Amino acid sequence: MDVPDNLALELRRGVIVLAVLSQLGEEQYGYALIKRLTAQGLEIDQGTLYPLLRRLEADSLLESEWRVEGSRPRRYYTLSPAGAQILRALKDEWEALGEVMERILS
Amino acid sequence: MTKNSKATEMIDRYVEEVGQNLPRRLRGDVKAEMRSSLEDSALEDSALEDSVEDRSRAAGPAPDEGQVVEMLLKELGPPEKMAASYLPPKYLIGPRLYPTFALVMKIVLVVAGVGYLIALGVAFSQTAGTPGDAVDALLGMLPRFASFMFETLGIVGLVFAILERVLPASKEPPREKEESGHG
Repeated sequence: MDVPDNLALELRRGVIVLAVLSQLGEEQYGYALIKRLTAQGLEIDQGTLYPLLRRLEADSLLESEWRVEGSRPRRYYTLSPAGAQILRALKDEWEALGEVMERILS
Repeated sequence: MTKNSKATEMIDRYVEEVGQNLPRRLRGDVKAEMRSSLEDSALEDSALEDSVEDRSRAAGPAPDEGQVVEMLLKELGPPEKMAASYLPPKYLIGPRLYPTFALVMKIVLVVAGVGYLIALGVAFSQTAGTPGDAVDALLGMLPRFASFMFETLGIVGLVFAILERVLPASKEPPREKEESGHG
């Protein structure tokens, strides 16, 4: 049976922050980041990602900079030192959660 | 994407509408980023369509850049909604105040209802007491009662809406409230 959209979405929502942070060890602009995540199997739409990047930047987890590269100016995002710390903590959290869930579900 | 004015125009219009729904401090930056991202993905997607077109030219006209942008914007959803996702959720009366608001409203309604019945009783007792008088008293008081209710509920709503904006945001409101309730 297909999982109802809203339940699947809710489950994914929490993971998306971790996924996004994990890809920003090197700087990326929004659209490239979408393609990168999609290529690895995590679908995320633009309407979700761009506001999320803003929020993470407002929380000082990301830093950003406008640069002209190629044909147009793009906003490049990268992890801030605080963001790198949070990423490590979230990864640990994710691993612990994965173990727990495996135990619970098996 | 200067070559296709229709696609550019659609993107401009969308971005402009998003901007209108954002506070000024965010507007310029968000608009610029959204424009550049949309152009990125429009270019990419129409390049994709081009290669499809090469392979199956017989299948009919491939979508042009304008159509690609149109689909892209449809995916993003209405610009007001897009703009809203850049902002914290907006409430007239938020979840933190709502329970208190609902309680006050209930009290007001009950008190007003009781008051109305009492006033009705008093008015009725002062008349001769025929059924016609009772109906007259009921109807005579109804408009005043209705406008009193609208005013009162309106004022309560207004006060709470102001509180919602004036009270500092706290991170975990429900628990705090519980604690202060028990303490």
